[in-house]
Amino acid sequence: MAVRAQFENNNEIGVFSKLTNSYCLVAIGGSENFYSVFESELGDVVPVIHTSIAGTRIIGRLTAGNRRGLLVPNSTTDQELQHIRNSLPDSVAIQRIEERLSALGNVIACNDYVALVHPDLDRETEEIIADVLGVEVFRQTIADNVLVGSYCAISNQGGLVHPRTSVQDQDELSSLLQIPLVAGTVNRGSDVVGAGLVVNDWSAFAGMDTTSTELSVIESIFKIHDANPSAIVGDMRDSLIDNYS
Amino acid sequence: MTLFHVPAALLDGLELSARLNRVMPPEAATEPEQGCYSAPAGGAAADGLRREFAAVRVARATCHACGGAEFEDSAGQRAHFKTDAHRANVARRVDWRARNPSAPVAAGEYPWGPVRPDQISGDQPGRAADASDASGSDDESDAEALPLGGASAAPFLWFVAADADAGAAAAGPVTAYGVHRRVLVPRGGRGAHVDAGEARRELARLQLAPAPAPTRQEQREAKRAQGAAGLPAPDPASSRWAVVASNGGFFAAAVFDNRTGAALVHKTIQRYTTRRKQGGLQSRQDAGMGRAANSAGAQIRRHNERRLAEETHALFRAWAPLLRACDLVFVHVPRTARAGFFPDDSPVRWGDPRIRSVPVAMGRPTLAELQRVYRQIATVRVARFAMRAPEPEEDQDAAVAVAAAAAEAGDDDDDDDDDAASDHTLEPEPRPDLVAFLHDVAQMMLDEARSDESIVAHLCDNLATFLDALSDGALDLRYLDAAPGVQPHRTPTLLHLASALGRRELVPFLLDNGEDPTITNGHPPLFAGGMTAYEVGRDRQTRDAFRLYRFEHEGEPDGIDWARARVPAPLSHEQQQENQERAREKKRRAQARRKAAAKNQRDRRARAAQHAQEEDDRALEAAIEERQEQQQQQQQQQQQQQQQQQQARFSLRSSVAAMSEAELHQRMLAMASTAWPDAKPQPPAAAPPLSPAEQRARDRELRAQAAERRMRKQQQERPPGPVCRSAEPCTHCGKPLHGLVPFEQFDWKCCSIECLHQHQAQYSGP
Repeated sequence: MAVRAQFENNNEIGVFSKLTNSYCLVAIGGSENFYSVFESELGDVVPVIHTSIAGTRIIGRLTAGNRRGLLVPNSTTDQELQHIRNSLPDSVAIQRIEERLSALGNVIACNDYVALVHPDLDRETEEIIADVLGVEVFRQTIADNVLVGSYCAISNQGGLVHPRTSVQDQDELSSLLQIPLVAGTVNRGSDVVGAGLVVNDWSAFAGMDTTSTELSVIESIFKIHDANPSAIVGDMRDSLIDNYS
Repeated sequence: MTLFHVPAALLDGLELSARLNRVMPPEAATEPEQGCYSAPAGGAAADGLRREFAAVRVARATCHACGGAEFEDSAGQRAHFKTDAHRANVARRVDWRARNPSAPVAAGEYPWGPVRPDQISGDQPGRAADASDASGSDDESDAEALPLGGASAAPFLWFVAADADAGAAAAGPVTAYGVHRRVLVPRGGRGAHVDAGEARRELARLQLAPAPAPTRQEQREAKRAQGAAGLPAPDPASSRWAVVASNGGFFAAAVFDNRTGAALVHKTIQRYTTRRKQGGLQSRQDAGMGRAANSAGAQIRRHNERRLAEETHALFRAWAPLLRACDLVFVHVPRTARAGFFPDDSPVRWGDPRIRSVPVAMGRPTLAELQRVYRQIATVRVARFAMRAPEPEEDQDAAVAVAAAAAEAGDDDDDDDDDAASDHTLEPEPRPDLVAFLHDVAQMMLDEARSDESIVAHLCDNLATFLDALSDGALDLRYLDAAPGVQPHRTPTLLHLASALGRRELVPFLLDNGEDPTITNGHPPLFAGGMTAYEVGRDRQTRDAFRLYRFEHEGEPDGIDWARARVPAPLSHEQQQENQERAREKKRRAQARRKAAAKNQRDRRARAAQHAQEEDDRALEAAIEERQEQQQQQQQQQQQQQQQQQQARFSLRSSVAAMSEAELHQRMLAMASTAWPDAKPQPPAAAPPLSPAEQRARDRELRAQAAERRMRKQQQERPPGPVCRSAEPCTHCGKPLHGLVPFEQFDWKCCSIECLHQHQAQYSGP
């Protein structure tokens, strides 16, 4: 089930949270409501960790991770690192990365098997990503945007990419990632899908502005609640036509 | 000729005719619809997804950054993505994009100038570009693909012998074999493209061995088996089609064995679900109103809708084995009723590729209608076309316009256009030339100068065209809707027109040639509320033409449903003669009666006039006599009266003058109270009752005497008392008080104490 949430009246919840299959980070200082949305949805399955990174709350844009590991920028304080390490499950590795492009969340998009990274990322960082997260790393752009982490959201089930992604690019990416992809938006037409949406294999959280049509696209492409992708053209077709006619 | 038994010799030579099916140049074909998804080729999930849903694009192992390089699989692609060359190309692409932020990049263009490393030089970029152009089109256009224009997407695919179509110089007419497009072309997708080879193969696949005539023994066995198992076992040597229709509370379904053309099983259900006179399902009305109507009728209809759905679902479940064995399922269900029409566990669902919409116009779902529809679909139409030259452009346009108008006018509630990818074959369009012919005939009928015989002769001359037109399944039942000068709400068919115009010679001819007298001019065409051709008949003789025809053709197999045509009991020629004789006799009698009545009346009037004259004369004489008598009497009376008056005046005057004062006073009082004191009749001589005239005279005399004496007395002395001298009347009874002593109270003056008492009682209140 895809859920809508808002962080202090801000719909870009991907900025303030990070969700993977084995943990969830949320920024401190949010309303209790924001936390309870995550906690109620994720429950006991994965820990929900309240933290800041480098004293900021934009933890979703600064970190990258999957079920095997978490990458944090160099600016993360020792205290924060310690807190996160204490809160994360033992199987999850945490690594501080020395990287010029410190907003790791913006430059890395990954699921448990593949990571798409900014073409200008250090080779060293690329290796660390491959080691810590256990993924194949590909330098890629999405709709000619280098900030792959901002403009796509992927899980092991599927992916939502920037709405202007060309058909050929989608086909190419789909083949590369081996997951179905759809070009779409969140938050009532926002193309910054990585910032408006956090997703893992069984749950998705989108900004409060996300329309029901967008939400159903999300549910079907990420196969949340057994929603079938064919529903987009099958069941949802009428509502889409209603919306656009 | 049925679709399933096309002679093998003929079948071998058949080609889908490019000309008859109006091929348009391929570049004019519509762009294939862009799919929504991109899914990887491998992987069970994606496979299932693609099977389920045609709009999924297959992921392609390519690299556009490196100039559209293609790889066998994603492993190769991944390996390539790790190479330095690829990184360089990605960097170039990013740079180029930074310099040209909004420059569009067409497919197959690589303006960043990708470096071509050795390991990917084996790929042909041209091929890749072509492939990306055609991405997503499943039925790749090959040499045989025939993209048909949307406007000309006729209900039939016409096959011709291969040599006939190939020879452009073939001047003579060509025999073409029309097969319903829906039979050969599956629904959805880019239906406007018909793969000629595929269509031909599909036609060949439909062929079955000719049905052996079943022996009586076999029939019995089959019947027994059916009785035992409930469902007949599907014959493995045959194929089956199902036809399912539901509309307005009527449901009919049948499974036909294609080899024999007989219905294996059939079922019709009828429920009262549509609102009388308003139309529409109760549920739709409820939804439209926002709240459920609470009337008894509404509840019955709602209940019936539910029951109909339940029964339908039960039927589908019961027929599951047969339906599974069906090759095609033709469905005629209004769009609004589609959701939930098939149960969840039904052997056929809406997404099923076997489902086709019924490609011919259909009336109320009944078994007969299903059989008719099945026959129409399963019949190969044979027509001859002149292939000499392409039709002039404007002719074609006009014809299409006529056809479109007819289709629009005849558009009823079964809206079968179900998606954007529809190939427009769901509303079959009649051949425009045939429609034009029928309209032409209608014009002739309207022309009063044309005799019935000349029209029949014209029709006989063009009998083939006429028969073609009437047997065209795509022809609307109300085909005169767009005909000029015709009132289509009254005369939607030629038969109606002939009947309404009283062209009775035409009626049997039209009926002979397949006009359906059961069609009404109501909506829909078979609606019982409209009038049939018989009912719009102009006069008795026109109506008799129907009855005569019924007499001659009653009881023919496959004949007309006379009850539905609402033609009353058949009429033989003798009966008609007799009827006419009787009518003539009746008319004669009526005329005679009328004449007699008129004569009678005339006589009566004359008699009455004479009588009245006599009466008048007599009355006049009587009146004259009477008048004379009266005059005589009056004269006598006058004389008598004058004498009497003179006598009375004289006697009165003398008697009054002789009266004493007291007596006169008393008399006056008595006179004022109108009651002459009876006790003392004065004078006793005047004992006989007085006539009013005498009385008046006497009163006058009395008053005069009294006045005289008063004058006299006044001159001698003061007036004695409160005797009223004025002429004012009694307050209560209005009698003049002159000469009386009134009884007074307040300002009332009354003539007597009784009057006063009464007046008191009246005005002083309780």
